[in-house]
Amino acid sequence: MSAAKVDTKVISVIKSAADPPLEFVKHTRACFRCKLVKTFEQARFFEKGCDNCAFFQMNDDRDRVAECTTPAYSGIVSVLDPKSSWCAKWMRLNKAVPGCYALEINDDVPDGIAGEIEEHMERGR
Amino acid sequence: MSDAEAETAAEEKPRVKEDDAEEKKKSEEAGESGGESGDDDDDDANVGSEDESGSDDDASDDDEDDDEEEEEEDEDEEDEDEKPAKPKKPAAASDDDEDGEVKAEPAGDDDGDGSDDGEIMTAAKAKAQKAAKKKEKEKKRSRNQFVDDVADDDDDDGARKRKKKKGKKSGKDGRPGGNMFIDDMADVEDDDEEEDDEGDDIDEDLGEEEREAVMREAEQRVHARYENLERMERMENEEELEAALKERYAAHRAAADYGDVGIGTEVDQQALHPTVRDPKLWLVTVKQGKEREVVVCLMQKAINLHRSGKGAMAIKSAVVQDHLKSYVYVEAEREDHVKKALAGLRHVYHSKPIKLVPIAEMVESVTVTKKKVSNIKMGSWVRMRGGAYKGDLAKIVDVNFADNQCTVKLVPRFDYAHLQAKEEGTHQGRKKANLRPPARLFTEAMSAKYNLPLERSRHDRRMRANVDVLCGQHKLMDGYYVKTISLASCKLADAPALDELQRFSTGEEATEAKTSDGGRANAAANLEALASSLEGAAKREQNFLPGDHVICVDGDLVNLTGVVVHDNADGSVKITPTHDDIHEDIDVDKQTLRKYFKVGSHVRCVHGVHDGESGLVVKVEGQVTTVFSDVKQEEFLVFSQDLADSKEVTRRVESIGVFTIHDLVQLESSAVGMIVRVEKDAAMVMMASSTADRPDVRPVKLHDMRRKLMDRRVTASDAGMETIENGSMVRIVDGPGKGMRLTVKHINRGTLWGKVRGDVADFGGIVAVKARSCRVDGSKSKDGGNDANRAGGFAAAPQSPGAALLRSPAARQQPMQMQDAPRAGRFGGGPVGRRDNSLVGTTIKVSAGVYKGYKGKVVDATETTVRVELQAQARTVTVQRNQIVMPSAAPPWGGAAAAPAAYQPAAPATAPTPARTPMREYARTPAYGDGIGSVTPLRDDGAGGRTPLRDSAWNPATPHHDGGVGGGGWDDDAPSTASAPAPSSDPDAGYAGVFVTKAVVSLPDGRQGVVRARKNGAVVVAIGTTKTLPNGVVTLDALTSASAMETVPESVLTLAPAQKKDNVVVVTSGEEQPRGATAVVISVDEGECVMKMDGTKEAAMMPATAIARVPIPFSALDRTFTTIPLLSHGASSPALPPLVPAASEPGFGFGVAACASFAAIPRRMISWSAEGLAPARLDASPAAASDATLCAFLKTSSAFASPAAPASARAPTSVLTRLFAMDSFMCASSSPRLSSVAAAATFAESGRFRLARSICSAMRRAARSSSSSSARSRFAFIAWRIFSSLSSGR
Repeated sequence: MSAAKVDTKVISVIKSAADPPLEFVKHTRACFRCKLVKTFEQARFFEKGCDNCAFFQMNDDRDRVAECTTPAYSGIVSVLDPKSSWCAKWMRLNKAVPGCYALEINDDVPDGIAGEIEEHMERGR
Repeated sequence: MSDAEAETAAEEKPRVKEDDAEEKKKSEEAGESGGESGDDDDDDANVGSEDESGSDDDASDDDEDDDEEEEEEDEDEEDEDEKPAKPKKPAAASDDDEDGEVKAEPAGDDDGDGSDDGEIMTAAKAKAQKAAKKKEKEKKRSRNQFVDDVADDDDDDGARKRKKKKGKKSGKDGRPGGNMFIDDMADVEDDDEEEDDEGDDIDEDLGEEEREAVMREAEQRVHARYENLERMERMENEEELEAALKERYAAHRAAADYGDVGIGTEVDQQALHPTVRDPKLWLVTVKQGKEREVVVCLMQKAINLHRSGKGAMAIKSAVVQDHLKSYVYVEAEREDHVKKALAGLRHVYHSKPIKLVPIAEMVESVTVTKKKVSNIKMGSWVRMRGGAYKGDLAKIVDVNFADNQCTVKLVPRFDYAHLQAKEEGTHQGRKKANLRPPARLFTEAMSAKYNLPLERSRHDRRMRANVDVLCGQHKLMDGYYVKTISLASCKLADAPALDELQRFSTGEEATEAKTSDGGRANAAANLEALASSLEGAAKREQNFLPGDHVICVDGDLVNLTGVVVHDNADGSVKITPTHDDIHEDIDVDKQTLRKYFKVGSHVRCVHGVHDGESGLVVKVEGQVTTVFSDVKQEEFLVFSQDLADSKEVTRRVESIGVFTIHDLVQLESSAVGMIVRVEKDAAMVMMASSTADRPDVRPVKLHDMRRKLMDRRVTASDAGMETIENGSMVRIVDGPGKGMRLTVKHINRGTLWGKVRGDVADFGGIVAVKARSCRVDGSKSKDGGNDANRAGGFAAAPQSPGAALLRSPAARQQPMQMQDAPRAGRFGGGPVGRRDNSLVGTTIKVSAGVYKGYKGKVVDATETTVRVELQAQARTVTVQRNQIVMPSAAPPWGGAAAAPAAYQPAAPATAPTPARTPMREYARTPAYGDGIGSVTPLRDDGAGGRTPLRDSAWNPATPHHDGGVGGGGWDDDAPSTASAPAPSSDPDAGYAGVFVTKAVVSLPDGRQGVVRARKNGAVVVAIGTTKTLPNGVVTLDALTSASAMETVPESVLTLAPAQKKDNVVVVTSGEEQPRGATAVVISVDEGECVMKMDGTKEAAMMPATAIARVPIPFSALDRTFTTIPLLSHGASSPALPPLVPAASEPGFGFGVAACASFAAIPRRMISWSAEGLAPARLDASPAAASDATLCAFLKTSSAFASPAAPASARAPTSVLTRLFAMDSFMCASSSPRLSSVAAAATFAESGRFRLARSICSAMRRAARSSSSSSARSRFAFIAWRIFSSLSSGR
């Protein structure tokens, strides 16, 4: 298996990647559900919402973004290849889009949001 | 049916590739859909085979599959290449369906649907009927790429795939519902099976291919989902299918991971632990502070690469841990993947090695211990991080996470003057005040005073309230400054103490100005409100200790009091209620408890400004407790949670920074005052403007104090123009406080600060008065004046340079003590004492305190202290009288009876060598001392007389057993030799002849020996054995225990000629080399010796007659192993038996000799014991012994120096000593370089590393040029060893 083949494989995955936060430390927030880290506006919870958790419907809604994401997280993992990455597997991100994720959320999920996630799960069933 | 379609699709493929992109895409879709159906068929077969034929069949199938897969690999790749361009959305799939352009498409699609329907039926049946279709399966596989895609999966996997698709099909339009559920179920199954696969696949070598296949399959699945949505609508038997699936997967359901993203945690995390098949984690060093950036950049780089079409990175992920500085983890299969990915990235230290994280540590590497971070929110108390408000308490009134900003309410610290200057436009030239403006609430009076524009009640949108705006920019609200700042510029404060809240609520000045009762009442009234506001904010964790009295403030048990028994781990506290009807201990939630103090109990403050103060509780109001301070005799308010029971009365704080209580300080405002009290963060300073009845005492912060004033010699004039000095006693004769008598403590510009006699409690009795309104106490003035002058003169002429530098309190009080003992004693409680001249001039030794052990001359003394001029340091120090020891009954200096030892003239014996310090002896290699025996008796400074140090030279002529074993390990000059000179003096002192002690001399009859002593022109010679060197020269071989002593006239003796490598000592001073210098002979040529001087390392040439050979271990070792030529010390253990019998055995003798030699050389002796030596015997003489035997021997021998050796054998050794021990043995059989080794070791031992290195280099060179290969390697080895220990050990 040549490296080229691996590369092409990754490309197809990367295509759907979530934009990484452009500012590296400041103003970044992590999605409560999938831990995806983005900046508030530029990249883009505000613009695009969460790539994994579209049901949050954060785009264009400042309050929603503030509600569904938190700046209190620690550590970042850039998942380039969720399918084959062990890190992604370990963090259960193997079905998430590639992107930067928080290692851990240090904040309590607000009750409302927790409920929404629960509800989404139920519907998913 | 589907077979045919699949075949068509497969055949079409190559052709399609030549078509335009769109067609390509579509034909692929067709192929895929065809493939799906084929796949399904295949799966059916698999299910059948699984159920029927079991694992054996499966195994064979798998083998075949593998082969097939390889054949199909290329095709798969092409497929992959096209995939990125392929639309994924269901819409696209349906477009394709409707698009009739590609001929194979509609039919394939329809057929696919049809077959799918059929498949579902089959699937249901398959389970029930367990029909095997093996042949069919094989056939399809050979033709269908999609079969091949999953061919490497095991049967179960294939079945799962089918099931999943069925599940998809049963959904409609992707609408969530029961179908989605099935889909999710399938996903669960995926997870499980993928893991299973990994477990199963470990023994296969198809890692990457397989992974790719799995990946491909996963992706395909995504496509399939959407493509099948349409077809799902046509599903009829949803319920039936669902039931079947439910039944089948019931077992897996418990472990269902219902989310598509990391939410579900029901799958055992344990199962996700990394295996060898997983990508590895690599630790990469990056610039500190840029860890996150690197990780995010990697992500961006991957995306950019993708967008620009330049391929992608092979790394899987990158991890940054917040707590791990300057490292990031990168997950990748191979290290070069990491390197490639990091190439060109900033902040990565590319030169640092990339380290592999062990599998066992991988989990740890990506795990963060979740810690609860309390966030700043409305109402939080925060502290400012920097600027003028640094450390100030502020309250959050608004938070805006989006902008990363918050709005805080602060007690303003406006520099009004500066604001005014700015307003008037005149601020250019004026620098902003260096001082931090005080924090005080804004009042309109201030703006009026400084003529500042104030806009009232402007509505602020963000605050949603009306604010006042000062100077058009500073928002104010109720006197507080409202400021919007970055979230980063403040930090969450733990619950502030009461006094701080007070200050916040009333402004800083208010607390300090609350002298009136009304102000205090107001403050107290605010406290409750403050306390309650505190409740909402971040509350400090209350700590309850057993024995604390608590009261319940909430819940059913409200107002119940009790005593804490135990602080439970679960946040509750077990208390023993103090209640008549409750007799059991109960657990109460911590949150509902408060500390409770009875009025009258003694408490200690544990937090806040009053931290450390103790006092009595005088009032308890809710949370606020009023405490009467023990120290200040004042009340203060504090939260009860900041108190603890205490029996102790805290000690008074007496210093703040460098300032101590009762210091005279100059403030930043140039005003002068005396510190009369020190509080936690401020000093109370009695200003010069005070009067006796109205003290002007101000609290001054440390940073407001400029310097301490030294006014010891400052004087002032009293009403009668008499001189008032420090320590004078004065009486106030005019103005307030008339009649008071005080002892002057400080004088500054006509103001006196002094301590009043009597019971003036305020400020410790200190008052400040004008000098002119005082009068120096009459009689004292005259008499004491002389006394004081004398004392002043004394102080003005320090006895030593150190006196001027004195800073200790005791020293500061010195003049007072000198001046007038009774008065000074009352003043300040310093040491009291009268001058005691009897002691002055004597030499004493300090027996305690910091100067313990110092000796010095007394320059001044009182009854309690003495001033001592230290001998060892150029200082004069003050020592308590009871801490000194007199050498005798303190006679005056020069007393004949017992003059201090240190000043006794040196004994005549030491006179010739007064300049030689003891140190020199140790700094030299033994060779020196051995050679010349030039021992400088050490002066013993002990008070108990002088004992010259015994000759520490290693005495070759006296075998150690001869001198008795029980000694200290160092033999003196042969005690058995009657003619030995007095041990107290240098045997060669005053001797100018050539036969120095230890010189090797030749007797007329050819025998040789060593000079032991001289007596009246005769020389005592210890006769040794001789041997004949290859060049025919007879030389001293060794001294034995049986060596006879002969007394020979000096005239018949000759110095034994020195040979090459002999150690020699210069006995006749040459042009350059002084007598006594030692050297090693390099060559002897016609009566001239070329030597390398030990001291200078220079080559020198001396006549052979001017040097005397001295026996030296190295050369002795070189020459003989059969007897112990030189052995005297090391026997620190009295139990050591005489070594001579043992030494008569050749091998053993060799060992001992060698040990003796190497031990002696580095001067740090290796002692050894008999038991330590015992194993180190050689059966043959070393000359005959093979190298192997020698090696074995040295191994045991080297154990002497190892930590495992018996204690007696463990003398201080260094790496090098040990090394030398070993290497010298190794060299023993071919010894020419031994001395080099020894020299290197020796120099290294004595710290001369450069020399040691150069010798090593020389050895290496020698090793290289050596003819014998074994010798070459050996010396190279030795040199390497020494080198390495030089660099590593030192």
